[in-house]
Amino acid sequence: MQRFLLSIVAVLAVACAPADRSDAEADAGGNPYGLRGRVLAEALPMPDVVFTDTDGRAYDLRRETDGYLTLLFFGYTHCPDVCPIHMANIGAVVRTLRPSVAARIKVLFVTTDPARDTPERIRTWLDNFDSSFIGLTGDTAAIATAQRALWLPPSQLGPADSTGNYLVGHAAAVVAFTPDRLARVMYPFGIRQADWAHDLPKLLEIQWSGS
Amino acid sequence: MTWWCAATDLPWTWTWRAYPGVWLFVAAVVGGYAWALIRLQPARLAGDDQPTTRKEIALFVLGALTLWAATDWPVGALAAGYLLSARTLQYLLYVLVAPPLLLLGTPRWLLRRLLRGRVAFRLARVLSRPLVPLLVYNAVLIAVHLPPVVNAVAGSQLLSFGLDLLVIASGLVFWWPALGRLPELRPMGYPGRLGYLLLSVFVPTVPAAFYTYARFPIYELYELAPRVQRIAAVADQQIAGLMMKTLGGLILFGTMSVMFFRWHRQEERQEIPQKEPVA
Repeated sequence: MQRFLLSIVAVLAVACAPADRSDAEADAGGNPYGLRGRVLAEALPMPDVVFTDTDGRAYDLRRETDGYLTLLFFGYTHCPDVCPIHMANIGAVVRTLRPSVAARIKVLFVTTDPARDTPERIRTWLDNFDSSFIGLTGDTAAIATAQRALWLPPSQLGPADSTGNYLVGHAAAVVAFTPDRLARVMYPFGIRQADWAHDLPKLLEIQWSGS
Repeated sequence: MTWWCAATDLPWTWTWRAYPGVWLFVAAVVGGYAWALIRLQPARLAGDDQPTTRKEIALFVLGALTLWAATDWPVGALAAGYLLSARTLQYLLYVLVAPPLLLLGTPRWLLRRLLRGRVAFRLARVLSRPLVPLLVYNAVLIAVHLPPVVNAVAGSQLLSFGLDLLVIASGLVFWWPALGRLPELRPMGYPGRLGYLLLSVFVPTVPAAFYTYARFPIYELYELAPRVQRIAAVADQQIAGLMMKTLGGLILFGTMSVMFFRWHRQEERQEIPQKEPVA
């Protein structure tokens, strides 16, 4: 009986462990750094755009993110699925990182729905996930410029329903910029907390070749 | 039309949704029972058969209502694609609450009628011994909690239906030897039943421990599901772990306490004639 119980424990231990793809497996997918995200063939520079943060101050993307690992995401606070899941998962993982690592990471949320997403609303929404997250807004031209610079499809407003609510189509990927302000890795929707926990410290450690 | 609760990508809302397949399932269970009571009850009962009592009918109906509550909106829908804690509650209702009520609500004469065939009787006898039910119950418990199974079944109504039936069946198999309804199957005595229930407490603590102590969400389905009431995926997982440990333990230990006192009463009843002075 003891052996039976032990074998059950062993089966469950293997099966219930969070998906933990090995570095070798990641490498086999054409990823030379063993990262879980998609490494870009060509690094992209941080968009040269100035947004407004939730305190109403100007936020120069290039200047403010220099020296930080920056996760940039375009979304909106009325989003029913992708945006809150990405933010919740990143927030949950950042809290588990060593403080010295977490202090070197900035998470930027740029609204794709500036008409409804007031700075106050963005702040309140982001505080649900992590109060260190930076919320940014701007005019639609600035937002579109930033998206274009990262080869992301421009966001599109959907039709309003009877209550006036509408959805906003937007890219579901989080863009990771290394401290040299170059976008190196994309994280599509479906990336999991275990993947973030694996990649975030690595993104700070890797000596990237080429720019 | 959605017949059975399965995972969708839709955000969760507290707006009621109809699942006609669930109603048909519950109606079939209750209807089959009512039909059996009306049509199959013999005019003269043999042996220790008793006429169906109100208590038995009430227990069976309560069991069917438990199945309904666990399968239909909102528990069924939340369990299918939103909250692991709801799935755990559903699992506990399926295996630890509904089956004993259904079995205790089925009168002995009906059980005997159902087990009239040789194969059915032999199967019931095998299932009256503890080893096979314990293996079946734990194998199903492990299988339905494996992440690949949970993720594979999620979007399919048919597979979700099949998995729900499998879990309910494992619950019936699990409780069969513990309740020992038919003496001709030579069920275990109270000490054996207590030991059997005690053994079954341990395996569920394994997934419960993973749920409670895992750093990150175990199931992709629940991690990437639209959030319900802003409950974080890890918090939901921890609630599920606590439920599995405490609720499951409470039900099993509660049942064991009742059995222990029944055993005690039985022993007392057997001792009373010996204490009387011999004339």
